[in-house]
Amino acid sequence: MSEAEAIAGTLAGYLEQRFTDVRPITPETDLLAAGLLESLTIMELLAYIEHVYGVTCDPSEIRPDNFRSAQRLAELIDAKRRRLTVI
Amino acid sequence: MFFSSTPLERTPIPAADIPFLNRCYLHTVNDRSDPTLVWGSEVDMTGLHSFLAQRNNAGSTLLTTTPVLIRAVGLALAKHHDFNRRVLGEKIYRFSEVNVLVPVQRSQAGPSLSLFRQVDQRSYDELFQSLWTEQRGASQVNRACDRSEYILRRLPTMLAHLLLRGWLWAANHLPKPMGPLDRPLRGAPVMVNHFGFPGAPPLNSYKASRFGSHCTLLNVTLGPTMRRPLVIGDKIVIRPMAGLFVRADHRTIDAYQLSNFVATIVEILTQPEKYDAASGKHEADGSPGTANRPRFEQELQAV
Repeated sequence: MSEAEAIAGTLAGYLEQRFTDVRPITPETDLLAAGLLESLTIMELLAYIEHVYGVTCDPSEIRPDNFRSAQRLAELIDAKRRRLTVI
Repeated sequence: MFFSSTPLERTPIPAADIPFLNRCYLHTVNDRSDPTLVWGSEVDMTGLHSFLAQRNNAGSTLLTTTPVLIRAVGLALAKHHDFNRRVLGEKIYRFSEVNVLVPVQRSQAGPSLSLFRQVDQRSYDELFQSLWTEQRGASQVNRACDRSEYILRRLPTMLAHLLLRGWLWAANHLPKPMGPLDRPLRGAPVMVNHFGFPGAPPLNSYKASRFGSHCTLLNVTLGPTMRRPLVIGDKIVIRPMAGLFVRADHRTIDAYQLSNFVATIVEILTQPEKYDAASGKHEADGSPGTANRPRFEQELQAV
């Protein structure tokens, strides 16, 4: 299992705990289509990511393609941790 | 023996254990009368959800409901000038800009207020970027409000209360801002809340509390979205509906004006694609320099 996949699994688990009325939440779940991402929950998610993985997101990185799924978000986190630029 | 039957504990909760914002409410002066008006309505969120889905499928910014709500309130203030005012002492002043206040959650206990300026001229994307920037800033320590709270907690209780009351008296009677703490508090006539986070229970009625400062007697709160029956024509359909609650000040406006203000906000939230500053989609557009002006402003100009 790659690092990004491990992060994706952790994020999906966090989201399942956070949104108890939505089941299941997998790394591939479309978070936007499921209506899980509102302003407050995005901030909570980013605070969680910063707390657990030590990375922060620039406003330019808060894009639909980066937040489409836990897998996509995990790839962003993994890339930032490896100090790569995600396009 | 006199106190033996009271249900209260013997000693009050220490002031240090009370969150700063709660202490501000606790130790401010009460008005003799209550000029509060409240109008509750509801919004069919179908159009807004569709708009957000389209934008997030094609756009470069992750757009949510809150920036749309902020701009909707800003445009409503721009149209209904009587709401873009505040009371100072027993006089009424107009604001020269269309600004709103939005509470953002700090990593410490309690929210802080962020001022969004000229929201009637900014696009949804710009407002979301600002919202994120303010949220990031609120999570950092060593802000002006954090320093003030730090100082207040270390003063003797009576002195801290006197300072709070004096600060609020100045906020309610002096027209000029006095420092970093005052600009967010006095810079706008309205506070905008969005309680539409997943897991929120239905919000069927809501009256926002009023802080001691008379700046934000106008409050616009959008509740969570719930699927409810709605009558359209002769049919009953199921639609995503959200409660919209507006608190206003009877010293500056009346209920008829309030109803029109609420109706404007509802119209914008129902059809947000028509009111984005960046989209340029305005029915009366065609003249140079009108791309970012609200539709109803262009109609007024035409008249």
